[in-house]
Amino acid sequence: MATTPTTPPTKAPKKKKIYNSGNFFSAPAKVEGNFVTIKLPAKVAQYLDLKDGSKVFWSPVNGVVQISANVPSVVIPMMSVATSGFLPK
Amino acid sequence: MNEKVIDFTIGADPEFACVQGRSIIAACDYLDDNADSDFGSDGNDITFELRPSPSKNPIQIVNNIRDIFVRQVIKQPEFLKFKWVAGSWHKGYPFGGHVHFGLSNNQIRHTDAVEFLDHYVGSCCLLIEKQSDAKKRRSDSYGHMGDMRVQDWGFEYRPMSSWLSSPYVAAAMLCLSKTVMYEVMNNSKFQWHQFVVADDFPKCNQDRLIKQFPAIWDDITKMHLYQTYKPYIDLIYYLVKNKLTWLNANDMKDCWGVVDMKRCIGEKVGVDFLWSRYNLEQSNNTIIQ
Repeated sequence: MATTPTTPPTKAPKKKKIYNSGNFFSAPAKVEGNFVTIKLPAKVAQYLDLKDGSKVFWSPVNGVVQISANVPSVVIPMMSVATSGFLPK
Repeated sequence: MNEKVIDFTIGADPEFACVQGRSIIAACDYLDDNADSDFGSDGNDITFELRPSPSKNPIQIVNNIRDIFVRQVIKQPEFLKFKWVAGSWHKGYPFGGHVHFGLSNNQIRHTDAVEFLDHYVGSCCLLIEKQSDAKKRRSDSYGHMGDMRVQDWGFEYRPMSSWLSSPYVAAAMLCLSKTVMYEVMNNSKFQWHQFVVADDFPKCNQDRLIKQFPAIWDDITKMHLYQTYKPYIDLIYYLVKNKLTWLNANDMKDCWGVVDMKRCIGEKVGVDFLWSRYNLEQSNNTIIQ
């Protein structure tokens, strides 16, 4: 019987669980290719603990963090500050 | 770029102070200073001075600085109860953010090297310092244009105030210092310009320098190492354009992540683990952009 070619169903973007306890906080994550991009509030830390050996992007300017999409979870400690913390002249 | 690349180490001995209430803590009361200690005191016995190991990689120095902080608070946890302050000046005490270059006078005349640094690093530093404090720090002969000291290992560039307020600022200033000097040493065709005059330093003449900044930045972005350190150096542009200082609303030790994390970290994740992961990422050059 002839089969009709079908387009593979488009997978819905994965949702990453981001821990939020104590001084940790949660942030929306978006999957893009091999990376999850998280737009962090500017005052948030630049260091991420990833459950595997995933990459960390340190951007003092825009607070964007990219991690591997394979990471099951992310813990973001509030341990540093970025642009919003700087005092005006 | 020249055919033969000349790389070199940079180092630093930035200063800061600890404050409790309205009182400034005397470093000599807490430290048995010796020249070999990486956490010591300045000659005035009040301010603390860090002496991180030099490196060809400025980000490594930022990590070395944090390592010193962490080891110090483990050794003397009472440091966590103080407020840490850096910048230009605090309660009568000036803070320097001297940067060291492992370059002999035979490789480059130190007076020439310092002149390049004044126009590109010194100018940017003046633009993001708190002006009133910057003037106080430079009210005598300290921290002026061309201020340098020859050392056995090279020379020390001394006009900058202490950029220790956060790792972001430290990374920005160290990366810019490396980038400018790398260009000096390796690009004989670079079109250099002059932006500062001697008066800019004691007066912290931000009104005049802000007009120069577009041209300063245009030159910086053409330098070879700028792309390498762009995520760090760009903070300077952000601060200048948004009329911000390098001082932070948060306590300096919080900015460096030197806090008691026991109450806010889960069972297995420690701050040292986070930094070791970061260090590993750095060593593997896996920062992505």
